[in-house]
Amino acid sequence: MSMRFHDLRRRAFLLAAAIAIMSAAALAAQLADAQPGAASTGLGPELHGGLAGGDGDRERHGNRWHELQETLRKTDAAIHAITSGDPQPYIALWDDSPDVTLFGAWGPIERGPEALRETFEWVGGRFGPEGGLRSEYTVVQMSGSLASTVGFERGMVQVDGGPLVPMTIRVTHVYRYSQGAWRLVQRHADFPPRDQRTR
Amino acid sequence: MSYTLSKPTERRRQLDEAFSRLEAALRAICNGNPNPYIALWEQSPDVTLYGAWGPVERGVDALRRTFEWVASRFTGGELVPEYDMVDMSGDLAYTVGFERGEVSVDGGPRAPMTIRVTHVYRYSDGAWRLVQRHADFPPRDQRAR
Repeated sequence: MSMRFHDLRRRAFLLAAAIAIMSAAALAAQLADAQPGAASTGLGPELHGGLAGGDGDRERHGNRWHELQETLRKTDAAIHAITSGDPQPYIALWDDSPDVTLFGAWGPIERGPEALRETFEWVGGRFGPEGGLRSEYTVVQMSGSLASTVGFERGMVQVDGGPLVPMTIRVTHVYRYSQGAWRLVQRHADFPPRDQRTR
Repeated sequence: MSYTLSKPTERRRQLDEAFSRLEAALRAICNGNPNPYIALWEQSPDVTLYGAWGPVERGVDALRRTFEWVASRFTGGELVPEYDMVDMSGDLAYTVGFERGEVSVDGGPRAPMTIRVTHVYRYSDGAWRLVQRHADFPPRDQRAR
């Protein structure tokens, strides 16, 4: 283990969590078992990160971390809902702030709660009830009142009344802790472009 | 004159410095030199890249190799970052915006390029360092309007 990585794990107030690609069924159990500060190779489906500072810091930030895990479970459920026709749970996860932003996979570039709500209603309206995407988190970061996730949404979906087809989305989500809860402030989503490298 | 900037203000000033370095690094990578952009990243196994030309990568070595490939394709021009949103708290910051300009790719003529970009930074070892880049070419908006 390099000094660099050792330092990384000791960084105050910072949690770097890595969850290797995991099945949707395992997500809730994995998150429920995760403990901030637990060490890991980063290869297994567990969280890792570091908490330094005193016990007070650990307790305070441990609570935020626990709440973030709850929020990520809600996001997974809300993404499944919107991709099977019901946008409301996903809309409810967003901060009520004029600076919320969206780079959507179907092209929207929007800002502000009203524009995002209208966009998610349009998105939900395109998905049929048979399908639904599950969320996978590759890396989760949290510090102070901000958190971010990098991952994928994958599954089978019905779009515009068509048959069930596979869909994969690359997703970066940013959350802000406000009014006692973690709330979404940014979504960047795209369909993985063909990798232009020859390999 | 002696006063101490409060920690958040100092952090915000350092974030602006990181933006200045990023602007210069983008100019360099568009002209074939990936190293200033590579130097902006944290030396961590948790750094991640969703690239506009398709790469999905993780870890500092994989990112370095990818940016070397990216730089090898750019043959002149300039991309300039624009920020729609910047926020920071504790050791985490993020930006939402665009990189726009005219660039030559694979020796072709200069042409306009626009990239939607979300960057995530982590404060470590006294500086803000990149830990995530999500970049894509703005897809056609599928809404009829």
